[in-house]
Amino acid sequence: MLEPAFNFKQINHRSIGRLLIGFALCFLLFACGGNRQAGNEDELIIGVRADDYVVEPLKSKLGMYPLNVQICEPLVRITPDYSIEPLLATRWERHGNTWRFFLRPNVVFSNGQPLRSEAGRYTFARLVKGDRAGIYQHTYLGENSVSVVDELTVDITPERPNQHLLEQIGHANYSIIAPDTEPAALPVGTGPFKLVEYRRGEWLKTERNELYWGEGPGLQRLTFRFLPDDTTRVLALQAGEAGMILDVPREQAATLRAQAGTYVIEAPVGRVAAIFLNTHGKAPYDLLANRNLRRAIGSSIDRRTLIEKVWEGNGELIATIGPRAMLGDYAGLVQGFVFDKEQATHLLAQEGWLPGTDGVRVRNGRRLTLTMIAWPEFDTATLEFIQAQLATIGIELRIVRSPDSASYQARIEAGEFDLDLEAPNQNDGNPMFLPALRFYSKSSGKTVRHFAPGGRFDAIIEAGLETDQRNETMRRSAEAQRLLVDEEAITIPLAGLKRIYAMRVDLRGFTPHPSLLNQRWHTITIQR
Amino acid sequence: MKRYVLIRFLSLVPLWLGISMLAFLLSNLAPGDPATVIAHRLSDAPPSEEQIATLRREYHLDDTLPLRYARWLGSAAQGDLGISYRTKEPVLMELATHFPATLQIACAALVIALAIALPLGVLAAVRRGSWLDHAARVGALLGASLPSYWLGYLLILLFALALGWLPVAGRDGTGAMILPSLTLGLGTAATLARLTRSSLLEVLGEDFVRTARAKGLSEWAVLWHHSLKAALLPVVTVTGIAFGHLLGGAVIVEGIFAWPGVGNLLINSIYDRDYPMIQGFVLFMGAVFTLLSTAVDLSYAWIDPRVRYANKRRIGR
Repeated sequence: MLEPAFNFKQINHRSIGRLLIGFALCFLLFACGGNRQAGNEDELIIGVRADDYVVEPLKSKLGMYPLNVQICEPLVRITPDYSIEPLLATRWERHGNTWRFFLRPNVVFSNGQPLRSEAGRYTFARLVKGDRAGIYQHTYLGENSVSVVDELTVDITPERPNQHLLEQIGHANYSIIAPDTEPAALPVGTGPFKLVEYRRGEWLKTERNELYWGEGPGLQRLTFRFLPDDTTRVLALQAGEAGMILDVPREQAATLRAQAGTYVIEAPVGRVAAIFLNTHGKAPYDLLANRNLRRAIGSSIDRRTLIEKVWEGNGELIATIGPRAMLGDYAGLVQGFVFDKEQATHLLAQEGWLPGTDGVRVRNGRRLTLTMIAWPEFDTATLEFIQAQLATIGIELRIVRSPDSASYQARIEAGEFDLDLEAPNQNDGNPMFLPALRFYSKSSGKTVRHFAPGGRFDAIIEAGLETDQRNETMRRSAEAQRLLVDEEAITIPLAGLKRIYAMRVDLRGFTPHPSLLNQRWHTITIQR
Repeated sequence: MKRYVLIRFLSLVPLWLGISMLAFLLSNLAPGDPATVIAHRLSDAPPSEEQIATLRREYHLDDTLPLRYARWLGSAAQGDLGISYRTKEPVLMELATHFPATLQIACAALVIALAIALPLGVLAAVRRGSWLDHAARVGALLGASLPSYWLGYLLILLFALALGWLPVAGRDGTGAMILPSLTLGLGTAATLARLTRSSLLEVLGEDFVRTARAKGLSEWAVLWHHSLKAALLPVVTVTGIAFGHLLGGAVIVEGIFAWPGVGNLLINSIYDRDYPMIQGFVLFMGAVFTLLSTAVDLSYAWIDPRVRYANKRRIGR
């Protein structure tokens, strides 16, 4: 009789223990087989914040909005100075309310389909169909707004006169997709990259589109890794797992600047941190109906100290509510607030607000207490700085922090605030975008009712919306902002914000755009 | 025994009903409107009243709370937890997609916790009062006191940056799960180590241990064959409960390590007021937790004959 090769009775506690230790060692050796690097010479991994793509059919803008990875391209491009450049359209003409676009010849989508006018019609019809949330009402596009003239000519006629269509359709939301494709499944565009793999919340991988019509990307592969935690993103760069990271927390920028092997670069100002004042609030949020009180607040904040001490230099003094480039030569029309505490206390005294026993001003038994809300992205230090500044002139500021955007939106829509700290983005080329959207009393925005000055302001906005001369639009936008800031003090611009990027030193060709949505990635190369 | 098991499982039904109600109320009463959040995610321009009203109709958000709860509960009873507002995928499918990742680090964390806690607790008990005991106690105290988000960063700094052995974040490769598991497991290890020590010390003072020693058995045999089995009974109970906590505690750790589990899914769902997903998550995790606790109770009865005997008598009455 043959003896078994292995006798199970020989298994005892000791042998099990040895086996387990062996397994553990093998696991560790396997697992610790070296750290991943941020790609090879032709590959770059970019660490970005949370994955906010919508992947619902008809609504999806995967790879386009809110992070544009250049898979698809719009008809025109917004340059870093917010002017309009040809992209998929080489030129355009305007006949009344109809815009005629001449498409670039010899362009093909990444799936081999040639770019024809039908793609434009398909793209815009899909946008309008999927517009149950109505975002296209700002462009006034309807289902039949786009018509094909010939293979490479397309007419766009908004349902209502729209002088600013050209500046609006440079936004990534209007990127052209291949006919009969659905970005929720696979975005197919004409951009320098094509999608390889998207794993929700983990990464979006692209590679070079070999059929690209322009100068091809310097990288073979470009991967966007979603790393929502700010510190983890920085650590990923330091460990070499990402070659570049976006939205570097400003408190960590100095550390990264000092570190060998990485460098930090700031984009030009693409948005402005500003306090919006509730001028139409109901008690107890009714104090800021008084203009002198609003002006006192504007004069009491030392914005330079805020930028230098609290934001460690990552900001720029600015008087306008959007990037200065949007106003061209007219940016100087807006003077902004000058830090002048004496002026602020004088204005308060003039309105009958006198210092109380605890330093907080009082009028007819009512304390000068205001409530401030803010976008969740603002840190406590910023809010407390403003609180301290207002305290010096006898205003008690109550800060209501919102843990997320939803609770902030609930609060602002309910009108339960006096001051609202925001930093809206300028992502298209329309100079009227921010003033019209946020303050024009006929705007569809839900929060306009808290801030709209009405009357003369509306007339300026309407004049700006009606003109087709860009220079004139800039002038009107500047006039509107002068009214908002200098005359009525409904908005207090604090500082222009700069998006901070950090990357390894061997990256070349990256030019930061003030608007992340318009950032071009295909110019990046890795120095060999 | 079968009847006992059946009764235990039936008693879970009202518990789940309570969990479902709590999940529904908590998510729906939080400030913020899902329709507004969705509208904001589609564009950078603030939405209009009309846009939001359209979305509210689409998601039946204008219906009364009791009606929405009844509708959701009816579907949930049939295994349909609804469709996520955020991803447009069935909630159950989303949970099924993300839960394995959480289970992976929770299991690994439990293995790590046990691998550290049992030897440490036994050594501390056997060498009571020695430097080893003191060191183990201090270590356990530290492990229990360190917040996981801080510990996570420390481990990244050491193993990813300084040594370069492990990746910072993500789920690429086997190595990626070590740091999240370690971060998650160290706190549990501390709790279990302290419990093992105190339980073993109690058992070592029992009469049957004295008898075993008096019979001339070696100290190893007394410890391994007689004391440890008895001492591990409370540890088994706590381990089961701790596993439930590890699944729940993964929320923070997953955020730090960009680990694509249910924790990250929950955080994103809360930000987006994705009611179906939040409700589905709470109900799902509640069910997992209660099932785990029941399983532990039952295993306790299986391991310890005294419990089994007491149950028999109680059911027999």
